Amino acid sequence: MRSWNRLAGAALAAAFLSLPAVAQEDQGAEDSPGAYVFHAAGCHGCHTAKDGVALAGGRALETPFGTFFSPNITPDPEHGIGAWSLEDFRRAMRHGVSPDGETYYPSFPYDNFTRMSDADIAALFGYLMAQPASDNAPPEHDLSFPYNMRSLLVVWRWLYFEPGPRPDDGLDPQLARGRYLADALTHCGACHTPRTMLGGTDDDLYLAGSAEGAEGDKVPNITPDATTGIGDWSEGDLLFLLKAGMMPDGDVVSGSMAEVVQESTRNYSDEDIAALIAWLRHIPAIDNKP
Amino acid sequence: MKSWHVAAPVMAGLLLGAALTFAPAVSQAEDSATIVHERQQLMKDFGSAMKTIGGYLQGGIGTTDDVAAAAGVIAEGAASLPDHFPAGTSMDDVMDPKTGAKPVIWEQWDQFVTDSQTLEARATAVQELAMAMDDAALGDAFQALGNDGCGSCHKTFREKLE
Repeated sequence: MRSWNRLAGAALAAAFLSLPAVAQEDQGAEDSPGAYVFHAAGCHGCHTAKDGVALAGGRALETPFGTFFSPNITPDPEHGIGAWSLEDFRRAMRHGVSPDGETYYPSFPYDNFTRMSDADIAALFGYLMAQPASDNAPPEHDLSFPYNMRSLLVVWRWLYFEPGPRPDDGLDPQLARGRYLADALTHCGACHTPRTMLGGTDDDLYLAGSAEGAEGDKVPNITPDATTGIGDWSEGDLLFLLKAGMMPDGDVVSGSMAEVVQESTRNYSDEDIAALIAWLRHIPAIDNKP
Repeated sequence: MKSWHVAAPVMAGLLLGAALTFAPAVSQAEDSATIVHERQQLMKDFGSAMKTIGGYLQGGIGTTDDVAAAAGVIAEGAASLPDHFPAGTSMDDVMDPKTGAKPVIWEQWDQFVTDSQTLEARATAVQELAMAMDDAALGDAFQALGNDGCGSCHKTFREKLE
């Protein structure tokens, strides 16, 4: 009896001790789930200007539609997202709408982020709110007509935007995870899928390359097509590309893709790298030379 | 006249200082095409070296000696890398052969030099691990070489040619 009491006491003490640990869990820690989502999605890349404060925005994204400037996503209450609730953040990520009700341009790839799970959105929000605040106020977007008409976004959304996570479509768990990484987090299609005149991704050419990607670069076809895509790459080739940026010929990627590897895919766990590779080998091969 | 005598050494000093601070310009005797050819060959050598190291890590091709030698090629080349980029040899200056050297190299010369030093350091790290036959740490060091060494510089300064 006595020993039981002691055990019970120890269990109670353990339970008691673990409570504050849960309550004080550091959501900004680099080993937190939010940090993983943050580094897989590559938020830092677009939301940080060259030589600018981390996540304080102002990075210029030159596109065929004009120049977009990324916003400040630090917890500054005035210039960042410090005054946002989790629900505000969820609405921005899933529906592309600001707390003021303003619709975002798809330069913020919420047509991808809309597929993120509630759990990942919440974890990411916790992580962002634990980062240092900056009062940097980035410039307004500088867009050409008619893209400067924000009202046109209604058309874009009607044509191209389907909110919410996708059903698993009977995919095996690894492929479903690979699709989630490609579409919801790393948003590969934002550059590798060509866009229509109206700025929507052309899903019939999913990841088949784009003649005029963001920042004007030609973006390669990464479907398994043997001649125009990467069908002749081995899994090892893909692994080395995603982890070290190295292509099969020993060359190392440039421009936006160098940034993607550094800001996103190199941070993947081994399981996630395998899942993304499995997905990239599973998708339809499309014969398209951008 | 007297002030000129005083000014001349000062001017010479300033000019020398400027020459040391900024990227060297192409001398008229040098052929910019040759410079571009040479540095493209250097980059190709880097690529072959990366492929050698990658082949060892990926498929166990070759030995750690091969890896060390390949990393050595990169480290050595990186040390002289900025010398291959005299001002006036950007993609806007030299059309034949085509070069992907963006003009921003010379606008951000200090960063370019820093990047080449990072490349040298990361390549040296791979070389040392290979010599120590530390296979376990080699993968991460190779990743750092690709990303911090090659990718960081390519990200800003290089236009990929078709």
